[in-house]
Amino acid sequence: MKSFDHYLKLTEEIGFVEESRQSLVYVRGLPNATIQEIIMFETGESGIILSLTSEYAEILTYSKYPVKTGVRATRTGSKQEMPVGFEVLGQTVDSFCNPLNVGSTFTKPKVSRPLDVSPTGIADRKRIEKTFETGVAIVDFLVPLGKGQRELVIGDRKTGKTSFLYQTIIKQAKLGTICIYAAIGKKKADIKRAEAVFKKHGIENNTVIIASGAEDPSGIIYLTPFSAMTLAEYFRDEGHDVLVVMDDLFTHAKFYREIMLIGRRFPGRNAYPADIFYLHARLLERAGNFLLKNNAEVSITCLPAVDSVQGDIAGFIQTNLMSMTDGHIYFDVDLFAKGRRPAINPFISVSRVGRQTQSSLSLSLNREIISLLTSHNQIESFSHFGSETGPDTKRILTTAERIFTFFTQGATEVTDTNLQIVIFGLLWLETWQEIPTMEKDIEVLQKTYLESPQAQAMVKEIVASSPTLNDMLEIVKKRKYDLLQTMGVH
Amino acid sequence: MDKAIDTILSLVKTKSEAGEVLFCLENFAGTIFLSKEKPPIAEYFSRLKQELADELIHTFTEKVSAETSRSEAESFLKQLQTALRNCKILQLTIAFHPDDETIALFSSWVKKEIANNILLDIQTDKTIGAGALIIIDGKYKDYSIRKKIAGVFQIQKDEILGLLSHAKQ
Repeated sequence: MKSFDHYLKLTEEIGFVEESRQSLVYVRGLPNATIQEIIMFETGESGIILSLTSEYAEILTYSKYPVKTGVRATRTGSKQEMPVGFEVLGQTVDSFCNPLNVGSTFTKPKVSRPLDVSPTGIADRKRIEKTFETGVAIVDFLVPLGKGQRELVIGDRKTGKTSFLYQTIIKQAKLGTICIYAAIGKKKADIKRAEAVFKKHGIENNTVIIASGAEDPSGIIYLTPFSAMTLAEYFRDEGHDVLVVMDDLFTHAKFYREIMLIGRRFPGRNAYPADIFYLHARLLERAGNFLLKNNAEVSITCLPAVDSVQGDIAGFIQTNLMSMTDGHIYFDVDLFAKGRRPAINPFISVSRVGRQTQSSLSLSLNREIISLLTSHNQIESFSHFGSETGPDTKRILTTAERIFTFFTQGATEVTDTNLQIVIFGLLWLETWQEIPTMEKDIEVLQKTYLESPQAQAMVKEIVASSPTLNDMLEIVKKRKYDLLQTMGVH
Repeated sequence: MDKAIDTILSLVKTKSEAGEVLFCLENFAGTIFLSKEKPPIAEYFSRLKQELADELIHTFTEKVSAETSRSEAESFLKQLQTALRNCKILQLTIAFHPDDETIALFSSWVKKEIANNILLDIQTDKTIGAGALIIIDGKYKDYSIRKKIAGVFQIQKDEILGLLSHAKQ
């Protein structure tokens, strides 16, 4: 940004701060100011115009401290923009692309894009047809996602939502997707943790962290998800698939509510302003599967996270976000307490478009697992009474237990879908009688798979030559001994 | 607008003067209709400049006479206060401290050429050299010599630097 005098000479318009309420400032003057225009103050601060009346311009400032009354302000004639470019890969930046790490050698990109743009129209969009792997088996099998999908990640605090988001970023970054993690109003320690996780997995060159701290001005926190989406649109237009993770939009809504209440907007439900739905819907609508001018198909997949309170997913912001996304993954606090990791409840989770991207094998697998887990849910309550169970019931209970063990994953562990399909085949064929043996063998299988190209080729071949679950089971049954030998399990 | 209000406005030249008139009117409104033993009208406006004070005394002596009703007088007072508050401010930054005569000259020109309800807010900034910075209705115009000199330096920078280096040799 240039100096106040430069913009004053350029626009020849001036205003004076008449009132200052925390991050909102009311300026009289500036006759030709427009909504969303950047305003520069003589003290060096800046802000954007939120609303205009015949007398005042209401400005949301990016300053930590209130602007004093009487300070002069001028228009800049430009809307809020953000520098975008490949230079930001591997960096942790704020909403204006300023590096957050002290001593960073990063130079800002030269190209800039406006933060608030209208979402791309329907003519440039394409049906979601490619699978989006998260690296988390329970999601990839039971709540499958597609590239360009907007999937809400919902659950109580500390139920593993952020770990799931990290796992997805790790998996996608390794597959070549550019991942943008928008940390909205987070603690500095959380931002550092994200940096450390990405660095540990060697994916920092495919990721960008756009972060705002809890202590930052409300204006900066408000802009964070918009900056992330703007950057995603840049990479999309450059022909790259992008994943945007917004952690989390509940915090964003709370900060927006704070700003609007200070601005004396009429409070609606839960004191949120009336345009909170519009704000989030307009933001999330910018994600999707797109057709570029050169006919290339690229996607912006968006995973917004939202906190629920005591397992209540019927809150205002939560239901708003559910209705503007293509499904949700629910992290169940009860399952978390029972020790299930990840604590995803597949029965409450929904994926509206992911299933259309699955292969026939994955679809039949999905159906089988859901059917078995539904039966397990019905039987489980009776089994607590200690009544004698028949062999069929016992089989359902033990298989379900094995499936849950199979779905258990560490906080930053990611798995390969093909390997998971083959392991599931082995599990379904009752290869393992004891759970500890199964756990140990799965660990060996995963390790060997990562290290041995021969094992990878074998697994790939089995999956490729199996159009349905039955075909796959047939092949695995035939080649079981050979497969286990190759994978190092004796 | 009431002709009397128009006359009073034509005599109020600056923003600070308008503030003083409003202060006097507040005092006047607060006591004139309440107290039985009210002070003479002249006392309320004694702090103002002679010409303006005389006009206000003359106007209010007429308006608060026995013939006019109290509500009429109150309404006039409110109209005058509103008119003063709604006056537009023209902020004029010049390089010297103007005397009363100069202010009167500026004001009479502005009121004649632009509008009667414009008040001057005169600021002093010696760095502008000469000329003026004008702010009205959020519009900013820089008619200072500082800007002109800066413009000349920008355009003829190379030529000036060349001359200077030549002089140095």
